[in-house]
Amino acid sequence: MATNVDAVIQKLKTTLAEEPLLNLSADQIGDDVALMEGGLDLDSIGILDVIGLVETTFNFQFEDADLRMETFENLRSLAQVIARRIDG
Amino acid sequence: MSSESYNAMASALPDRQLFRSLFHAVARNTNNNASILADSHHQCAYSEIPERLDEIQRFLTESSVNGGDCITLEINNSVRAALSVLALLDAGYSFMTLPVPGQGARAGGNAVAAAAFSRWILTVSADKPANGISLSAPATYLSIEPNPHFDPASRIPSDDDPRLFFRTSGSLGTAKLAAFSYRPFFKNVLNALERRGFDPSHRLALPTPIFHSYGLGAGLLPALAGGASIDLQARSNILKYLEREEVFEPNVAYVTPAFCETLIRGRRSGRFYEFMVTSGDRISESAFRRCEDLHGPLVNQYGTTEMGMVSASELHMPYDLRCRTVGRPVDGVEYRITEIPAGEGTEGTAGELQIRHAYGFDGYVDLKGNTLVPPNAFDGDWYRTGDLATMGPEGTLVVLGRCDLSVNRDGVLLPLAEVESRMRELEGVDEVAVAPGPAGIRGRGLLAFCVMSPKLEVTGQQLRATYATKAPRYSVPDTVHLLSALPKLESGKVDRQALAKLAQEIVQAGAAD
Repeated sequence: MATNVDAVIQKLKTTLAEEPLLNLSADQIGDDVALMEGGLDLDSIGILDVIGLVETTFNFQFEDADLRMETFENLRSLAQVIARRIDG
Repeated sequence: MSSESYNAMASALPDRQLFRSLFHAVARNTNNNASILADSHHQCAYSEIPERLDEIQRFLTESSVNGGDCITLEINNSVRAALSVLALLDAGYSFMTLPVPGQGARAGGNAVAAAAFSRWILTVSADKPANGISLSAPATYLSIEPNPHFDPASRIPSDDDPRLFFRTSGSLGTAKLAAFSYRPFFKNVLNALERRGFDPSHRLALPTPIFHSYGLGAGLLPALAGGASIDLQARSNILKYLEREEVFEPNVAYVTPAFCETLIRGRRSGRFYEFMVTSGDRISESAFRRCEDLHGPLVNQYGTTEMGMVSASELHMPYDLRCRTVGRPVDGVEYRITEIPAGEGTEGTAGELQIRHAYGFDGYVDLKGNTLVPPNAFDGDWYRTGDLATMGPEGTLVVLGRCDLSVNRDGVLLPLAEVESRMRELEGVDEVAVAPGPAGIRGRGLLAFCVMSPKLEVTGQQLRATYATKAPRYSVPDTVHLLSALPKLESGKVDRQALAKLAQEIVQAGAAD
């Protein structure tokens, strides 16, 4: 059964909100809010933190081809890539 | 063309024509449009450069800019920004380079833009150009305004020859301008070309900002002079970099040590480069090795805004020399390593690096264009770098950190950079900065501030205990504090003044407990 993208989004929200270094609350993190400029304003180190958090939480490793601006545009785009990776 | 050919060409030319001759030689000698300036929006073949520069110069003339006016050029890395810098050098303007200020930041963000001798502020539009921007129509991406702080009574601090001005803050935050005549700056460019050996087969990824003397004088201009293609990346991060890497296919990259660490942490598979170049703060040995495992050979170089390139290691050097040293001094450089004054600890052979450079800067000026001689900037005619150095093997130079960021512990002179480098090797430590504290039983106290990787639950005490198992006792910080981020200057360097204030607050709070 294919991984549910909405469920991945919910899990991402919880994970990011629980990470003190990112200093975000769950209600700040909408499904479509930009993760970088004009949204949550994650900087270069913040992006690295999110990459590490996602890999630990969902137990897989990104490939370099996944590490693109469009992947990290918002939670939904990120969740779609995560779901693809989980489903292999 | 080689640095020797450019040197021969330059000897017969007045200062004002040096860069124009170089740019025209580049345009003539790079054929088939193979060599390009690129960014994520635009490309410009080197053969087209003279025409693009003429268009920008026409735009300036039509905007009432006179040849003798000084210009403040606000740029972030892009093809448009590179062409604008080249146009000013080509026409022989005096100018200073600054980053484009953020929204509403002009009042405070670029304080130096208010220099009273700068008549104009020329701004290259933001990173994401709207439709309709064309490289052949400068009015679509350039805006020029009179500098509201211009003082007609002030004068450009130069005789008839043009100058470049770079803001220099140092790591302690005091802003002033370093003035360069064109000829020594040109010779600096040739020094970098000679050390790096750029040719048209090279494709350089350049995420280091070209408003700094390093990105401009050691990166953009020498690569252009050698005919290498250049990808200009503004405010890069791991995602933007990997995207551009796939499109541009660079085989050379200039990275700061911080960006090197970002690549090491971020990328998931290796990719070979002919070489990578790093400069600035000392890179840790484990980061150096990891970077080489992922990318191929890495070379260090050392320079300052005031002196330009001072020393650079070379590809043919063995690993140990490339990793531990900044190579041998470049043409025109004399150096000496002086003893640290008594009372600061003189054990070992480390001392302050002082430079005399035939192609160094003219001197400092303040915002009114008056000559400025900061106290302790010079020792006679030697420029005091403020960096702690030793002589390495085979005529190389080892730069250890800042002199004023060294302390005496157990009678040993200990650069804070050494403690920082060792702490960075510990698992989970992303960033670290160390500040001096009050004197204690070992000598000067040490407070370490660390930013940790997420999901690694560790206390400052545990981190200190781990450090103590791996390093000499005299170097163990007295306390370790975990922060969500280090205070930073606009340049990206650690804000040492803010850190010292934080250290003082912690010490005072501790004393009050």
